[in-house]
Amino acid sequence: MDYKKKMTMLFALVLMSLTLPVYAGGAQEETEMAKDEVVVALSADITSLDPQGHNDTKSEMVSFLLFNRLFRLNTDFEVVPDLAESWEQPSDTEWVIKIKEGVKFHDGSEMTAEDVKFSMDRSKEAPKVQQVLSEVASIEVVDKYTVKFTTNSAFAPFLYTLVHAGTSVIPKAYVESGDEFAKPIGSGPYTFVEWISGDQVVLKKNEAYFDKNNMGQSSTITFKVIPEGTSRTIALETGEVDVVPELPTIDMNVVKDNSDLALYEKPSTRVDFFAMNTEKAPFDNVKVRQALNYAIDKDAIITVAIDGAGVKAESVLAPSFLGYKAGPYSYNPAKAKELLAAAGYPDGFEMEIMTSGDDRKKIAEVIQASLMEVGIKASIKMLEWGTFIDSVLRGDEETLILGWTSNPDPDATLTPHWFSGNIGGMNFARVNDPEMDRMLKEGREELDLGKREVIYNKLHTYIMDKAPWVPLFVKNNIVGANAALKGVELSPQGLWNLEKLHY
Amino acid sequence: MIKYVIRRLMMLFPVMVGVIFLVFFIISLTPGDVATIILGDGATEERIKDLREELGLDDPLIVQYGNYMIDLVQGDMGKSYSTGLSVAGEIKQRFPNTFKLTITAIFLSVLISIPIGVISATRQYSIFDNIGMIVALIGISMPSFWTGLILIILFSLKLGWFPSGGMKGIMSLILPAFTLAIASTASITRTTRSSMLEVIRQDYITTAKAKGVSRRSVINKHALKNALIPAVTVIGLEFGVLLGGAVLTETVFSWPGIGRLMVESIQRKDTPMVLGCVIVFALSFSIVNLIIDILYAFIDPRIKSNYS
Repeated sequence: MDYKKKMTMLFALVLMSLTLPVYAGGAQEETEMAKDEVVVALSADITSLDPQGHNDTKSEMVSFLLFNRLFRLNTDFEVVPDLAESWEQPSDTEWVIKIKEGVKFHDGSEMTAEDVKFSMDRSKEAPKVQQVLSEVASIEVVDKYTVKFTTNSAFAPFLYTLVHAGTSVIPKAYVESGDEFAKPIGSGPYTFVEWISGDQVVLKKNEAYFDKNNMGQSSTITFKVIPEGTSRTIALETGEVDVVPELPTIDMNVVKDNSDLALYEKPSTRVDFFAMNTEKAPFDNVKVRQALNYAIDKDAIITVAIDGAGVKAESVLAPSFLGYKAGPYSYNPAKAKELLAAAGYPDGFEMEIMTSGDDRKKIAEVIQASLMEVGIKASIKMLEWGTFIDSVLRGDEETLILGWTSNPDPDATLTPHWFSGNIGGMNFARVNDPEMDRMLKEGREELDLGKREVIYNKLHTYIMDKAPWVPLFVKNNIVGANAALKGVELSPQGLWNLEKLHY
Repeated sequence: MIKYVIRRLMMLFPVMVGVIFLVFFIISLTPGDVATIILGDGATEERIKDLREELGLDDPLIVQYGNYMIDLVQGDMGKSYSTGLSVAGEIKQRFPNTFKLTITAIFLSVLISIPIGVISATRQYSIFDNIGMIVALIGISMPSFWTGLILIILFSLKLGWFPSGGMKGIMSLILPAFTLAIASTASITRTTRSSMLEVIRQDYITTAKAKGVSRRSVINKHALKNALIPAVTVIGLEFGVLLGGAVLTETVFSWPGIGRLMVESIQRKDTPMVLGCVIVFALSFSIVNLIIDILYAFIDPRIKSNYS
């Protein structure tokens, strides 16, 4: 038996001695010659290479590199032209857009207005992105490089809809060839190499890119799927990935303390909020709702739930939005008690908070503790996500906790949340207020930016005065990267302009 | 023997039909509307209705089940609800990864556990036996995501010997395989030890020893072969389970296996993909079991004479 034992050990030793130097050598080689490659860690696999076949931020990162849209957003979320050369508005409902001449797809064919029209028509029919162009009534080809969009009514945020990945311009001939995006052809700064399901997506620099000012900077960008948060951070520390777009907040200090790594932060557009069902007593009473706005300690929530990586939310949108105005509330339990007494609840009441997910559970527990101090006994009901959404759409909840990431135009968030027609949809507080409806309509139809801002200012004040939500916090996007990596840019949505990443 | 194999293969059909039936109904009865999930926020009622019709979600469940089975028999596993990709294609990509990981893990654990089990049994209550069994107990008690993270921190982060995750060459296979091997090693070791203990107390072992057969030969030829049946059963079961995908290990090591695919699909309520994974899982489990049963015949000729 000793013989066998010896053999096993010998075998193990041989195995180790054979393999270890090989790997160590490989790693060294990589640091010396490479670094023309950037590896980006994704927390989940992309869902589709078809820019109109997904509606999630991971797939979007890849789509943005492979395809172009008529317009794009800069890091401050302002609309800037991408394929568009010039544009004008002959009337309130018409937009004539001319695209740049000589834009080549990856297969060498030239992009024309036909491709643009084809892409927009396809987008309106694609299940995942059909909502993006829902305000567009028709698209016409004017000449080889010009298209005309006609909207259903005057629609101020129109250009913002054309920055969505779902409005990417795809070659008509390619789609009709029936390849189904197995090897996608776009016009973007990177071309497709391979997608290994659940593992990685590899893109190569497009040397013939039309926009010489925004050329890809490194020769290869690889997206690696690493579902576990801690594993992502470790991969950054070991140098296996160069940038982690969604760094777990608990790992922020690990990155900060490591001189080889750099931490980037920027406020997101996501507002986490506590919504009260205004159809149910006692939340039909505005004084009760205002009382809760004073009673909840937002600082404590930020510390407990997101490790301090965010700022207090003081209205229903993030501060970066057009027409934003902060509400009048601050943490003040005494004031909350006064309001409760005035509303006829001097001894508080019992209520239920409904939500889903571990992070939100932490928020719920802090709120529960805050409310306890003003005499309100809150219980927490945790549901599985699908069940939670079903119950919310039916209006089963008394109160709920949820987060919402906004598109850049304020209307895209305000109308779903506050228009009375969306009760049973995204109008979580189930608010039915004709005055609010009127202001929303006014805001989306006003084409003058200054006037629009005034309207939204008023709307913020009005909503916060009615207090159907307690806005909790705006979380920061946190990106961890190799300290030597250049061109790391963040927009409110997170890592941005990936074509600029390079060593 | 061949008749037996054919009979066992035939039995696969009712098993598969039953498994698919159960899973189909369980998924369909969980809350959450597929069309709403696919279309996402801001979809109009009309679009949702159209899509429900397109996917046949408005038919009674039993009709949907029937349609699925008809397609399946024709070799069509459908398309994923969430990605629109072919289920069969996706599984074809993912399953070999899981298979690679499983084979390596089982190989590692057999390599470690059989010798330890045998030594522990032949030197019962020795220090080696005690240490071996304590290590086995620890191995079986450690949750795999924890073991995995500890291994990553030690061998990738601190020592830099192995990549921390992903699927790039043979080196990336070692840590996840070892993580899986630790848990199965524990149970295989314990089984080997106890069945060895039973065998070495048999009269024929005493006889062999009395005849003057060398110790090594007694253990290897006379005892181990007879003690292998329970161990092979456990190895087979572990193998079958691992083929279904070791979700936690695959997640910690970013291994693109079928376990992760299945869990992600469940979260997205992607019925065709979940069913596809379940079919593969049930099939591989059944086939592994069949192979194990056939292996018995080679290990123990008495069993062979029972087939006819």
